[in-house]
Amino acid sequence: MTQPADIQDDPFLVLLTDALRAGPGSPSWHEAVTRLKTSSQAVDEYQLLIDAREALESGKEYRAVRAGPGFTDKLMNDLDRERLSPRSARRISVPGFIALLASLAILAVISVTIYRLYPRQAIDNTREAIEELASTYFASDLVSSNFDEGIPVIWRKIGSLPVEASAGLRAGQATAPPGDYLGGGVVTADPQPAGKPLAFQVMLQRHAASEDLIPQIFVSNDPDFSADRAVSSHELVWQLQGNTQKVVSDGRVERQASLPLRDQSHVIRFVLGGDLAIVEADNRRLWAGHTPLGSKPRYLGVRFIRTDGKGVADMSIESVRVLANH
Amino acid sequence: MQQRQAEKGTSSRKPPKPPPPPAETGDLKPVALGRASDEDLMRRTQQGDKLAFSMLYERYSASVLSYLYRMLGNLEDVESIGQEVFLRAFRFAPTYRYPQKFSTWLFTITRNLAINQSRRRRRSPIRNITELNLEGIDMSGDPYQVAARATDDVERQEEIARILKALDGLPTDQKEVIVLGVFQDLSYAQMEEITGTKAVTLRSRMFHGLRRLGRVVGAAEKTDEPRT
Repeated sequence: MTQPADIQDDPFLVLLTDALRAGPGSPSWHEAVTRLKTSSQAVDEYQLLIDAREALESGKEYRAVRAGPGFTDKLMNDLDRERLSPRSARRISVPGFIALLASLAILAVISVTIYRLYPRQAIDNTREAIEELASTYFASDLVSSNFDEGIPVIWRKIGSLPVEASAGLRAGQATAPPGDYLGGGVVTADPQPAGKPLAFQVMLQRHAASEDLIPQIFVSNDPDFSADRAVSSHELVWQLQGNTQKVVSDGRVERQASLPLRDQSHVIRFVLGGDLAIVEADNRRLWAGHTPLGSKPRYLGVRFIRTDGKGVADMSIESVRVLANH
Repeated sequence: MQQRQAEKGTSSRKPPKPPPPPAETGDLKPVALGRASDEDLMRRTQQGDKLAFSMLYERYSASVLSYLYRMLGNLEDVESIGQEVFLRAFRFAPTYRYPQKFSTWLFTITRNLAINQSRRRRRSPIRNITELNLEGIDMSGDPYQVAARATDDVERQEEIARILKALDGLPTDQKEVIVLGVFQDLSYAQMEEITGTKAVTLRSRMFHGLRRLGRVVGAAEKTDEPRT
């Protein structure tokens, strides 16, 4: 039976338990599964774990509940009462505050002890670099387009699926051949240098989930996009199909998560610096890591992919912004 | 890239200077508040900014309520403890220490209240539920419905539903790690802080919990196989 001590001593078990937590699509998952495939270890035993984790990933909506209006109203009323009666709040909070201070003191002693007893681990440079990038302050707009009246000249149209700009960017009418798909969108005419950190922020509006019209936000280091599908060779992509959002790097799904329809407006944000990127949806980090973009200048864009399905979709790109940190 | 516009202060994650300490939020644009980090919102809450706390509630209410539903399995408790979690977070906001991760701080409160409630529940009878102020119960409470939404493959649906049902049968410590790590997407480091249990033990619980779940499906598949 695997004990904590076994895990501590076995780098593969550390990797495997990392992968089991992070789930399918994460870098540790890919690495663990790849190593299992080439391993002579008891693969059947581990396969059970992988299968169970994949099933859990598919069932992540299990017991997902949200607050209804009644719940929120009651809480906000209680908060107002709490603010208006500071005396009772103080009476309640003082013992709790003292208890917490005592806990913090104990925790501090334990932390110092652990810090002194154990050697410091090597610094993870990538993680540090990502957190530094995440804390970058992007203050000035390089590009800001609402697509209210046409497509500004800083954008270049790509692909065979027409796009229309009027109070947002929308996919035009077109039918994809059976079993195939069409793509079309806009990409920045001029590239951005890789060495300069920037944020690429897109607001997407949708009124229904669509399996047949897929919005994609992408960064590419290749100026050549295919005439039919509007794709290029090396891309980092965020996409939404139905209620499932994915981050795809060089064709590989790095992260998959649900994006419920309850919020009709979504803000998708790429933070780019060197070959590192952070992808966020509605202020939550979806993925961060190295990209296939390397140190080449990059092109930023949005596009729609239409499948051969007949489903109609009402969605638009409301605004696109590119921001720099100076 | 020539459309250079200066809209400073509307698109930041972590401004270089700490935000001014407003007692009221009249000078804050909702957009700026919406893009502030959880930790910055908590600092504003400490200064009495209820709007900042409302933003935090908006970001975390579903996560907290879902955690409670998964761990307690009782909707009446989810509603009452859910209210208590956010009331306490607001009340004890002064004890939050920036830049501690807000999600870790909030889930420590949530977990403690959930543990207290499960102890109380053993001693007190369950009252009737007259009205629930929660949404999504009918959609997500049934493992078979969740599985059916995830895939069209009937065999796969059966497997997902079995796993979800088996989750409730796990020992509490293993179930907790799976709920926090998989469903709530918290790191081992965060779980270590929340539960006070070493990360290596949490890894072991994750391993054994998932192995148990995997065996549920493995055993079911063997039962389903035709006998020769």
